[in-house]
Amino acid sequence: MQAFGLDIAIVRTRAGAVYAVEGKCPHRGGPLADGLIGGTTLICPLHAWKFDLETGQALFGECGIKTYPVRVDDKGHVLLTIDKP
Amino acid sequence: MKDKKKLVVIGNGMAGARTVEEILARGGGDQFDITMFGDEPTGNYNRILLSNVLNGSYREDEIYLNPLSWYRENDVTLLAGVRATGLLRRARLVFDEHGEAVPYDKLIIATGSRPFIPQMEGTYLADGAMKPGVFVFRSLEDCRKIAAYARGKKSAAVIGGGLLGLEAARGLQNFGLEVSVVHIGGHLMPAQLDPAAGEILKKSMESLGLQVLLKKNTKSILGADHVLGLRFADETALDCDMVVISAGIRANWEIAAGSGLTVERGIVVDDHMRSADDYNIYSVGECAQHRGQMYGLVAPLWEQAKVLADHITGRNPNAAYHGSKVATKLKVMGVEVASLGVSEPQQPEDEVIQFSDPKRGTYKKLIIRNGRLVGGILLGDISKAAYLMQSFDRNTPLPDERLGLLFDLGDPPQQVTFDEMSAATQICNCNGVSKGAIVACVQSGKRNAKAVMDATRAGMGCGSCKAMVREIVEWACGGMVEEDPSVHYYVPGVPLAKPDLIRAIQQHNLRSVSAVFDLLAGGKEDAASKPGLASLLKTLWHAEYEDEKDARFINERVHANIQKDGTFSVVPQIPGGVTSPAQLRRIADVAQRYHVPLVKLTGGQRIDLLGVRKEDLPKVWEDLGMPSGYAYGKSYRTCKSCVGSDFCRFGLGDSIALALKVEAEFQGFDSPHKMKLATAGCPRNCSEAMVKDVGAVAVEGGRWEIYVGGAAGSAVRKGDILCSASGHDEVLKYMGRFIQYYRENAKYLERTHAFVERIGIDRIRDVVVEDSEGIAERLDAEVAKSKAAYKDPWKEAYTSAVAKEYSPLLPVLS
Repeated sequence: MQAFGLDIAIVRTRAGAVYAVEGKCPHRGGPLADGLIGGTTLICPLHAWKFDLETGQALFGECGIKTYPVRVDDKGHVLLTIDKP
Repeated sequence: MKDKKKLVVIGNGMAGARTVEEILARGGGDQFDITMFGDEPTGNYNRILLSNVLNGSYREDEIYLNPLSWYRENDVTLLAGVRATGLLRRARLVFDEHGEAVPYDKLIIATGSRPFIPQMEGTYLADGAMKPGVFVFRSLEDCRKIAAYARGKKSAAVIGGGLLGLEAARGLQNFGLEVSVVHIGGHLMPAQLDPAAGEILKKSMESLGLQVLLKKNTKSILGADHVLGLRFADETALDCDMVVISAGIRANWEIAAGSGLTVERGIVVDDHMRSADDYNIYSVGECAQHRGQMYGLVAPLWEQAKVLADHITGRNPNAAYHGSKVATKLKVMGVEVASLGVSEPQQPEDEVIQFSDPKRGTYKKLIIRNGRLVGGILLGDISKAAYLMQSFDRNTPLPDERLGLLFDLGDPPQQVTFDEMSAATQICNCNGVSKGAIVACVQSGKRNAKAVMDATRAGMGCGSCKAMVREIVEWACGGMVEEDPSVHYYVPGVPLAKPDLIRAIQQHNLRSVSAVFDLLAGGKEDAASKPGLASLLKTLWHAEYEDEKDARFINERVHANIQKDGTFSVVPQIPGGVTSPAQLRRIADVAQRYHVPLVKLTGGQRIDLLGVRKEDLPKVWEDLGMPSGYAYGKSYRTCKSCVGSDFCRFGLGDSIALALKVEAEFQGFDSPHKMKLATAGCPRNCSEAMVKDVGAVAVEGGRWEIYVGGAAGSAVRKGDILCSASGHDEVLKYMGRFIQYYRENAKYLERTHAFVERIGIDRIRDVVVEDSEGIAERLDAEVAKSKAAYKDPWKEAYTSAVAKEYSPLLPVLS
């Protein structure tokens, strides 16, 4: 999704957890929302860079991604907290 | 422009004309009015090819470099058939044979050379003309005369056993003459070869029907008014009807010497190719002597022409010629020869590496000084010539392994190479990972290849460097490499090799990826393992596979190939590359309607619409109304074909019809990696079937040869012949069995070429063709089930309306 000019990828894992992270891969700008997820690992679809959804850290290399606090309310709305850019 | 200077060039041979071309290329046409003297009445031709004109393999008009029209088009005045005979430097005038004067501001002397005619009695008649039957071999005119005289004659002698003499001899043989080569020295081609090589060449020449007489000093040419034979200094004689003299060349320096320029063996020039005495006069080519050297080959001449042109036009006033290293490759009567630098050692410390196989006509010799090549001879087998010539020319140090300089021994041991390899050498060209980065990673504690690849991304692009990365890791670990058990697993996240994994899946009836993780991996998901498992489950369960979208790679999830900007490429199915006007019109309409930025023909004979936005995909597919071409999948992709027997005059089998059947049989088949197929209507292999994962090539007699394991991507490999099949149905049967065997036994992301090499074609043939394991029937049945389970994923997508799958946006509430 896009909000306040930011690209944000919101994902739900098979275990039911919801995460919101920066939408573009820091490597070549790949769309992370189209990536593969397993456990808390997200794999970018372009060149298979791997990130941890909890911390945003890359599993190799230095460049991580931003993570956003997120929760789902009882109506099923996804509530996302973004600092004002 | 009226201030143009007058440039006069004496000589219209290869050197003169090439120099003028170089001058024109530097804008010399604006600086100079150019006049050229050429004593031959034609434009400029390639003298190197004269022997081919003599032997009939070229026509005269085929060897012209600059026809007369070229001179007109470039405003060059050519005085064709006019000989320059005098030079008056003080007045800056060149005189022709009729006494006409042509003024110059700058003069280039490119008079070349003429044949050397040794002192022999009976060469000339009393009136000074050459005796009928005596010829030299230098010009087109000489060629014509030799050819005219040779008709009806029985025998000829060539005086001179150099390159040109041997070529003349070959030309004469083509007129049906008995040809003898008479050479004064002890071995043939003394300029290029040493005695041992000369002896081997002599044997090769003799086996081609040439008589070679060595150490024969011709004293006289016999015959009163025409040639009857030769008499030698040792008082022996040879009968012959004609004689061609090819005893070397002498530079044409007379016009220079006559005007007082310094001449030794040739016209002496400085590093700018300028006369040592007169800065308005240059000389180039065979008549010029530079630092004591004369050159008779074209490569040095081209270098000289460039320097001269740079200097005379002022383009580069510092342009300097430093001499050339002489290396040449040539063919003498079909025998290949390469020669570089010196042919004998010249200093006590010079190393000589030598190989001699006289029976097969092969000889190799290298002369090495201080670890660098200074000379060499290759005769009969010149496969290493390119490498050696480059080392020679660049003066690069040679590897210590001398044997490898003479022969291709396969790859040298890598250990040696890794020690020498600089840390900056890029190993993974996709991700830009150097040897140094890999070594650093090992030193940081990653002690197996997979860990290093994960950490550095080396080998994670096209994958072609994986073997080398593995070897560097082993080398850097110095024997302390840790075994990574996951290399034996089908996918890293499930600790089972493929046969065990398949058995467990079938035993426990696991039909979805999540079920496999739950039962076989302790409930621990591994993202990177998901697509491999999805592929295998689909292959095993066909229609009963329980699809989970999160298990699929994005391409398989949205049935299109993701591009660098997150858009997708859409490739509809075009079986066999056969399309129709209506289909093309529809594709064009869709491309326009959805503003597709790039429409491109693919290597698989299809049409690719690139840059389609994800949300447009279902509409694009619906409007196309064509099934998916699976250009995104680890699956059967397509089957190329040539035009086959319907139109092609060479076609032996109907390759188009077969390609259509192949597509109908295997469309949508998931597999460990992509499979690209092709059918070819004859062994000319226009559709490249021999380098496909699976290919069929028609041969005479209504049969098809089936190739498997070919590759022409990041790896290049010609496929192995699995078997030959009779008729389309049999082709489909064996293709299907191979494909199913590959689907069941290959590791995930293992292409067929790697699979075939790992298992071995003999073993595969035993199972697939001979049915040594009794599984052929089952393989056929699995193919049939997969075929029956085929559904076009595009049609499914736009008819079942799961639109949100293709939407990039969630509705934002606040």
